[in-house]
Amino acid sequence: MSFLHPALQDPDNIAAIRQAWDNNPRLRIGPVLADGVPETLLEALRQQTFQLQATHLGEFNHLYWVNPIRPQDGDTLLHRFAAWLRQDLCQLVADISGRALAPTSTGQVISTLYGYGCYLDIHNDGGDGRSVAFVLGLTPEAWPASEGGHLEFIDAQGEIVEQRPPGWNTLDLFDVAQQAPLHRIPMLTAHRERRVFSGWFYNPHAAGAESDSTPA
Amino acid sequence: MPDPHALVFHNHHATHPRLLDAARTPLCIQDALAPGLAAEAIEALRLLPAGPHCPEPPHQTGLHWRCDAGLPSTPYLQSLPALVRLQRAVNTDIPALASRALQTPLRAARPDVLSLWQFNKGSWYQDSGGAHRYILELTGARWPPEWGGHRRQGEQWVPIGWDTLTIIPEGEPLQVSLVRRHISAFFLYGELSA
Repeated sequence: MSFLHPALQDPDNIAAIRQAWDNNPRLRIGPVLADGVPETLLEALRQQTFQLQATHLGEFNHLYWVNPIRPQDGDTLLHRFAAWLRQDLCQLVADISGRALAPTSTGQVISTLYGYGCYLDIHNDGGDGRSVAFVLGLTPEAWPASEGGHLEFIDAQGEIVEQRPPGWNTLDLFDVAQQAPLHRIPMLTAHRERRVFSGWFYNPHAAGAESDSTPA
Repeated sequence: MPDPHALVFHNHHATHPRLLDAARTPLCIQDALAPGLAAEAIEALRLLPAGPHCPEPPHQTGLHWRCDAGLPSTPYLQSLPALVRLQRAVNTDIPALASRALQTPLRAARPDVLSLWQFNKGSWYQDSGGAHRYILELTGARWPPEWGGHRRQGEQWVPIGWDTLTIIPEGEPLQVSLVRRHISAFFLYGELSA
């Protein structure tokens, strides 16, 4: 089964996206998945049990739900999608960024859910060999930034330079090797569901440990 | 030979002495604990390993940090005296106060358990009512209501107070507003049964 949208199988389109990345390595691409795939994935995710991830006394704090999926642990739609994400999506992002990339060595893919009260405090994703951050949006609902749950990029003065609403069938990519922009997810103050697959693709030649602990 | 426990764990009331003779106690009592006990208690309670507690969305009724600490019915000599006195409050004094306030005999539904609820950034709580219960509020700091962590009282949101016992009659809801800043509100929670 091909999960990728046909438009992203066209080399001309990939070349155009590559040029956009070279101009500004902070992109939103969509649609990214083939017709019907986002709906099927969302339905499958809603059947899953999520675990709460929360800290409140750390250097930066967060509160959200996660569902780690290891492709080798089963053969459901989500397992097959996780395998695709680690291989094919990683290759697609490598083609777009012009970088050699590898998926996390933990072997897992992280699905996150932000509900009422969930947030991710300001941080950057730099270090640990991370090269490109990705956020694959599976949020069907739209809401204003005033209710939280949007991805916000912050400058060094603490000002918001960009707000990205949760996406449906979108792929957000941003460079975390050279620029590592500050970003956050402000607290969701309404009863909404922000659902994504998120994480990083890594420089396979970088030294150092890697972590899946704080995907946006 | 004197009982060595008596040297440490005297059987004084853990609530304030002025409450002993109240014929009918109001449902919200400030300075509820014996003088100084709240200050000692919160230092001891902060040491408890509270963790996130909530049902998974979308069935959530809240999200807060919680520790249900079971204490031995006969205190150990090395137990923190403040916790032992709180145990007395939870087991005996608060149920007695609530019985007078609600004019029905009540006892602790979970004796010897201190249930600490902590509301940090992202925490909230909302139920639709339950058994007779109480919260013993142990939050020293104050902040504006828009920061959250306030308790619903009638049509108002009121701060979770310091050394304040609030008795919640059967069927009354308990609501704490979403905490939006890095602040923490604390209370001990207990249910009462007939």
